[in-house]
Amino acid sequence: MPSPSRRTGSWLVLALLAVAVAMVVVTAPPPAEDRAQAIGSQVRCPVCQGEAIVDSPSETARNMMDLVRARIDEGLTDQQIIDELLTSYGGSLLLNPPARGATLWLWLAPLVALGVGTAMVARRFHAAPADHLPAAAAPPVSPTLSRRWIWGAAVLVLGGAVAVATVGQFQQARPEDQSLSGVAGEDFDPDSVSNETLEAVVAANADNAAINGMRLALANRYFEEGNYQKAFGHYEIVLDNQPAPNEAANAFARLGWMVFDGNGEADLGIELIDRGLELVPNDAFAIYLKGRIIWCGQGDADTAADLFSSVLSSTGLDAEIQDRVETDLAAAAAGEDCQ
Amino acid sequence: MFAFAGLLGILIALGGSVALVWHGTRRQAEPSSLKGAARFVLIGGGVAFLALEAALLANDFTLEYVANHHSRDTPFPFNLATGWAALEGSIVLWGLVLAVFTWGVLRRYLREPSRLGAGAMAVMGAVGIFFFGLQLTVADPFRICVDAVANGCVASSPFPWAAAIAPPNGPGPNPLLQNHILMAVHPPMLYLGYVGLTVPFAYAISALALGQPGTDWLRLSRRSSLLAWTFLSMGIVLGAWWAYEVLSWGGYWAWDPVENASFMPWLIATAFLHSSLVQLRRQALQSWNFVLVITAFALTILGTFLTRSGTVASVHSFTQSAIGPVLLGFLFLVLVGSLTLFAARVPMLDRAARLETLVSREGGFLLNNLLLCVYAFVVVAGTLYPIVLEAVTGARVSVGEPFFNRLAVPLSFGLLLAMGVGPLLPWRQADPVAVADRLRLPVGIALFTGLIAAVTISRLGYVVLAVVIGTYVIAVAVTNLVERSAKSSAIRGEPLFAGVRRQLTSEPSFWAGQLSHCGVALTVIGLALAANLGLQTDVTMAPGDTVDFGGYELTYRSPFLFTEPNRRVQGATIAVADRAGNPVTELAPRANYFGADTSGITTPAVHSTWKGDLYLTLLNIDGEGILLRLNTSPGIWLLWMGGLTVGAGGIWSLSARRRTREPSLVA
Amino acid sequence: MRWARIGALALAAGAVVLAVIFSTRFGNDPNLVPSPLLGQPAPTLALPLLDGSGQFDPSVLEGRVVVVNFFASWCVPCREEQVDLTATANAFASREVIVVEIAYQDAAENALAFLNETGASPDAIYLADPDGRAAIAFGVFGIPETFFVATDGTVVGKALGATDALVLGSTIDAVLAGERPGQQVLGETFDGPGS
Repeated sequence: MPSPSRRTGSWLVLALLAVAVAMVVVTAPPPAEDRAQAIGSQVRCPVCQGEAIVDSPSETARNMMDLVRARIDEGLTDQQIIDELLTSYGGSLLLNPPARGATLWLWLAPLVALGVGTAMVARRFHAAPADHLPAAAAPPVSPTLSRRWIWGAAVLVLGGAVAVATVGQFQQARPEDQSLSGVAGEDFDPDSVSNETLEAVVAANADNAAINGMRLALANRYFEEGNYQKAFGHYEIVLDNQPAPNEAANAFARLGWMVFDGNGEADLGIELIDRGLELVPNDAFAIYLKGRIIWCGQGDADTAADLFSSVLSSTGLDAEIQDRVETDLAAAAAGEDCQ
Repeated sequence: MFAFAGLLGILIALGGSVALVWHGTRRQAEPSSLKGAARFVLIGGGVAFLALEAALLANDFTLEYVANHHSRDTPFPFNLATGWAALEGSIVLWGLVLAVFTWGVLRRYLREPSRLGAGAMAVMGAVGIFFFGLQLTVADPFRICVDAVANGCVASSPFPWAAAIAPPNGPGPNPLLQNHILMAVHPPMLYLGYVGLTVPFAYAISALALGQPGTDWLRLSRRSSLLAWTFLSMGIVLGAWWAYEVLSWGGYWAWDPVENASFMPWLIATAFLHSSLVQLRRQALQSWNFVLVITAFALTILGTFLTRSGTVASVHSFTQSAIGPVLLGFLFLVLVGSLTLFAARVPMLDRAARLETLVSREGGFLLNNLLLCVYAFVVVAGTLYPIVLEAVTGARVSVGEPFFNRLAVPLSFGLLLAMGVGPLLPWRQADPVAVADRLRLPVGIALFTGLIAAVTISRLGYVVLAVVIGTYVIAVAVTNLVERSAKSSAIRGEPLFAGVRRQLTSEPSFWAGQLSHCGVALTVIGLALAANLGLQTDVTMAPGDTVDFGGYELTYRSPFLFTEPNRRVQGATIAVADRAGNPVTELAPRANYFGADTSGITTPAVHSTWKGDLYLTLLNIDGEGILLRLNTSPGIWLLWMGGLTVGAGGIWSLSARRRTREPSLVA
Repeated sequence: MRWARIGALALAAGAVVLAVIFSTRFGNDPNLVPSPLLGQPAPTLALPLLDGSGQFDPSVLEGRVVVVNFFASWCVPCREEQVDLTATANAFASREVIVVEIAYQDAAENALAFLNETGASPDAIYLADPDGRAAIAFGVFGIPETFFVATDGTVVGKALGATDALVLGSTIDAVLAGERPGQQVLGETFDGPGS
């Protein structure tokens, strides 16, 4: 054992050494602060799964670091630069969860754990001796587990399994996962979209024969709106692409009308409608159109009236068309001129 | 053919595991039946593993696993490593390692039969049922490919007799895994660590279930715990080294969830190793040790779950698969079951031993446990918090380096301080004055070294602090050795060297532990240097350009491009010279393109010296020039050497114990 | 003694809670982040034109519905999407809807070659993003990503993954009608070639 004076002497030397080290450290010039590096190490690279943008070699990270440096040069504060990035990408880009709000617990938890742990350690040494029983006095415990415990454990396991299964199901329907189906989607309702959308869909799938139905729907829309020019183009393409009989009939009927209504060619119009009627003989709308052409184009009110009445006798006619047919029938039968 | 063999192996192993549970839980376990069961498990696990490897070597693409993860062009050691490169294969490896450890438990049991040992084998069998069951259901590597495209399998059947359609070739293992040989070594090491922790867990559960607490279970499992801990340490260090060499600068540790997954059990296992010493010596901390070992095992399962379930985003993430829910379920069962069992047995635990005072070896170990457990809690909390928060509130947060570093650094320094004092404290009660006396020299050495480092290397606070505290730990160990040796040499009248040798061989476990402590100190110093003093910059260079960086002159000579059987390699040759212009070396950072990939996996070029590493990453290469990232990592060799030293300590302790064949207690 | 028991049971209960929480995560992509840009003003597109003919004047976009799509020549799903974008740009040209396509981490000549191959619309605007600022401003995680901006300049919709004419058109219809479609996930996005 060294003498007390030697002991104090050596501790003095150590103290001096410690002071010397401390001085050297404290008087060190502050390191050239690379603000970009400091900011960059707090921001997560969005495409790199956890690396900071200062570390990641990916192009996105490098672009973001360049942006950070540019903003530093422009004079923005650290917080402003980070906020700019968070505006685009959201709070999950911060590698350092802020010490407030939801993440406050995360920072507090280790301190709580340290406190609990220290208390546990302290108890080991400060518990009064009276509260410990010598081993012999402890009641003998049977080696087999009591029923209660086994049942309790089983309940816990089962309850947990049920909870996992049910809550898991409930949570999995997340709204982010919805997706709209493509062209061939069963839920797609053509009436719900605009002309432009149909136009785009049809144009994008032009080489797919299955698009005919949609193209026809689009053409019909244009027809009903009176946009004969666009309707014409689409009907032609429909007829060029191996249409089904009802599709062709549909196209022919309206083409015929447009030819008459747009260009005044009654004969050609009737011819076209007839070609459609060959495919689908009892197409009420086609017959009606034919009747109109005969009445208005050729001036033959009687034939027109016959056609109109045959239309009225067919079933499944649209209510609106029905009214028009009745009106026209009344007029034609009376021998009036076309209206 | 391989599928039949493999599945047969799995079935045998599964059967053996069931037999283990059956025989291990009987009142009168017969050693021969346990031996037979363990033999089945070992044979089955071995056959399954060998069948998979054979299928890989034979390029048998009728197996879905081979078709989707292997390629004819994969060069030699990597085609073997493909056996554990993907999910199913890694579970097969896990099964084999488990079988080997089960055999080890059997050997111990045969030497010293007891119901405790038999119960431990039963628990090993139960774990085996789970893992071999996985291999038959969710993670089956022997599925037959029944529909293939040019380089992969699109549909498969679990039945080995299914009509197989084999693709002509496969995509090969993930490019990141083909870049470096360390990849082949790191997972097996890690698994030896993970699976090894099953053994003390098995003994613990057996002790609880049989109502036989006490130190037997600890004594019987100590060797396996140490083995597991050693391999886990090595696995983590090798993984970090591999990430550094392959991924990017700083990639050696990024507090990535998968990295944390291996770190959490390591921390608890280290705590367990230390507190079990208290129980072996003073029969105290019994219940605490039970909780620790259950936690350690549960964390290995949690780690596997996090890595494989796709629940967390990570640069290491493997693809999602149905294994996630199954692993979660197993983890859940393990935790609830063992904790409930422990709670039930609490009255039985012997609370006789009271610890006298904090200033003692026991107190040191308790402090160590406190710090390690808080450390583990921090890592667990940080890793799981984003998941929990999002599930509860829908908010998204990231928890990354800044959080972990801010908490880990003080904890690490605290641990180092404890490491320095603990070995000097005697058991039961220490005289603070005497201990302080012995601390004078190491503290002096440490402060002096710190002063030198501050003046020559850096005056940065963290760096100096790390040097001081790290040197202090090493100095404590060395001065302790020298002082004790000197004392015993003086008594015996022999030279100091002989005294040192005597010390080291008479208490190898203690000194091996001190060696590991030194390893940790070196690691911390290396980390502090590399992380705080490293430089980074990106430069664009045209051929012929020169830049000054980190004390070197770097000149871009020319690009290069060559093809290997499994990849295309494009890179740049950089001539490295020192400040005076003398050539030092040539580095070739490169980008590797595997298969049909059009993006490169960069392989950095590293020049390692005692001063530190020069680290070049090729970010971009095109007709005009290259974009190169330059890094320096001063003193990073300390990190690797420290890590290996930690492992060396473990290996030393293991080999010494074999010679003495006795559970060696700490002096 | 009691503490140990209570502690152990509390841990076990905690395990149950954790298991429940984890089970909710299965089937969800941990990378899917709701865009914070929804409901915020869209970033200004002060970028050079892709064909190198000068700087784009973003005032052209004021008062119109804008569809901002990020693409690249190395992006495989962008090829099919390009056809739909072109058709949409053509179809909606009369309705004060403008399609703007921005090349993401791609050299201009590669992007132009891509457009030559897959088709371009005379009514759409093609921009280059040389330093990646626009991608960062829009919070792009990968491509293809498409943003829908209402006439007042607010981002009201985002689609991740390749869109098609139907999605584009119906979303534009919704935006024109004053709705806020929000975020939809249609497919995978890629943050680099070969990823």
